[in-house]
Amino acid sequence: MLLDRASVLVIDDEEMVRNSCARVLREEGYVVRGAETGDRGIDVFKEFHPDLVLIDLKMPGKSGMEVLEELESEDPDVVKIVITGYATVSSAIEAMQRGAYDFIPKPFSPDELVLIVKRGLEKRRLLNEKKGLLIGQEKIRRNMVSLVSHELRAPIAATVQYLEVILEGMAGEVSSEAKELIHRCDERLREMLDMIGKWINLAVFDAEKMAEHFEEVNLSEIALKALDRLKSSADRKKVKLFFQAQKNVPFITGSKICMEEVFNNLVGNAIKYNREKGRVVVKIYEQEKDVCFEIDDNGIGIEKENLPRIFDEFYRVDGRRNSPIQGSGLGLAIVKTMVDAHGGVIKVDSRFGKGTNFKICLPKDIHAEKGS
Amino acid sequence: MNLKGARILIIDDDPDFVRSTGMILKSAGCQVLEAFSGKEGLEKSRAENPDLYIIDLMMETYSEGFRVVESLIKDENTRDKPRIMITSVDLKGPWDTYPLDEWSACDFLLQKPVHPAELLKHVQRAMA
Repeated sequence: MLLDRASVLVIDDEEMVRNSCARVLREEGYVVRGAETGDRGIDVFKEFHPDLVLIDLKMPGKSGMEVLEELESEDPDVVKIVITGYATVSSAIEAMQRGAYDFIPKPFSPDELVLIVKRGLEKRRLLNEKKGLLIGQEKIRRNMVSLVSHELRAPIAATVQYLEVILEGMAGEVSSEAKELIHRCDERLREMLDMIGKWINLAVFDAEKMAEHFEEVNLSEIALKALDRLKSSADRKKVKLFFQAQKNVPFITGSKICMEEVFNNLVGNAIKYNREKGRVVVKIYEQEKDVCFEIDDNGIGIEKENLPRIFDEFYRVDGRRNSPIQGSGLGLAIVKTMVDAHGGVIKVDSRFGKGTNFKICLPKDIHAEKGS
Repeated sequence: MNLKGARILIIDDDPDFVRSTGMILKSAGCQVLEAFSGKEGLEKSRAENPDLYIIDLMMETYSEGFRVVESLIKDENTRDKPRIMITSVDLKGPWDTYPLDEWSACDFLLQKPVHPAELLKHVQRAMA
C-alpha cells in the first residue's frame, strides 16, 4: 500500500524482463510481483491490489491491450504503464486511450524504468490526496447541514412543545376557541418541521452513500405499513384505501427508509388530493425484470399543462397554494430522487377532475441492471 | 406504574425545553431536577442521585449528550439508571452524522418536540 511501501505488478511473458524489472524495483524499495500471462496477471492484480502495473503489450494468449482494458474496468485508479516491444506511436496512443498512464519502449535501462515508475506513483499519490480532500469537504458540508437543520428545528420544537403543554391543560384552563387556535398553530409548526426535514434530506441526498445501505426490501410490507399509518387521515376524508398485491412478488434490492418515504408521499398525496368518499388503490406486481407498483386515485387530478413540472422542487400545482390543503412542494421531488437512485422509472397519468395514477417500476436486481 | 415521586433530572441547554418538559413531568407527579449543561448535569447527578435522566444531545459540544451518557455508564452508582435522549437533530436525516451505535446506550431516543402523552409513556416504560 501507498502508506508504507508501494507495490508494483509486472505482467510480461519474458522471464528475463520480469526478473530484471523486479530486481531494479525491489532495490528502490518497492514490493514487486510478476505474472507470466495476461490471465494470471489479472488474478494476481485482484489479490495483490498493486499501486502500479507494468503490462507488456505483446504476449501470447490474452494481449496486453485486453489486459489493460480489464484492469481499467477493475480499478481505474491504479496506474497502468505499458511496455511496448514494437514502439510504434499508434499502439502507445491506443493504450493510453484505453487507460494507460504512460508507455516505456523495450529495451529500457534501469534508470528509465525507475523514473517512469516513480512518476506513475506520484500521480497515484496526488489522485489519492485529491480524493481524500473531496471526502473531507463532503463531510464538512454534511455536518454543516445537520447543524443548520438542528438550529432551525430547535426553536420550532421548543414552541410546539409549549403549545402542546398548554393544549393538555397543564398550564391552566384554556377556552375552547383558544384551544382551536393553538391547535392550528401546532399543526402549522409541525408542518414546518416536516418541511425542514424534507428539504435537508433532499439537499444532502447522496445516492452512492445510500446504495451502501441497500438490503432486501419487501415492497408489499412497506405499502401495507404506509396504508396503515395513513388510514386515520383517509378516514377523516372518508377516502377508502385498497391494496392489491400479486402473490409471491419478489423482493427488490434497495433502501427500506427510501421506499417508506416513497409510499408515504404517494399514498399521502392520493388521500390529500382526493374528494370525499373517493378511493385510493395500491397495486404491486411483477413485470418482466421489474417489480412495479401503482398508486391510483379518483381524486381531483392534475391539469395537463402542470404535469411536466410536478417533480420539480418546491413546485405546487397552481391554485393549491391558497387552498386549505397544506404541502411543502417537496414530496414528489423526493419520490423522483429516490426512484432514480434505485435505478427505477416513475410515470404519471392524470386526468383533471378524474384522478391520478402513479406507476413506479424498480429493477428486481439493481446489480444485474448496472452490469449489463 | 405510578410516576409519583420519581426524581427525574433534565439536562438540556434550552431553558424553554427544560421548562415545558418539567411541566409535563410534574403533571404526572414527578419531582423535577434541572441542569442546563452537560457539566452541570453530571454535578447534579452526583449530588441528587436521580431515578431517571432526560438528556439533550447538542449542548456545549456537538455531541455533549453522548459524553454525559459515557460518564453515567462509567459510574457504578448511575450505570443502571434509565436514560432517555431527546434531541432536535433530525433523526431521519443523513445517517452518518452520528454513529448509530452511540444511541444504543440510551433506553429511548426521542425527537423534539415530544408530545406530552408520548413523553410520559416513555418515562413510564423506562422506569418499569
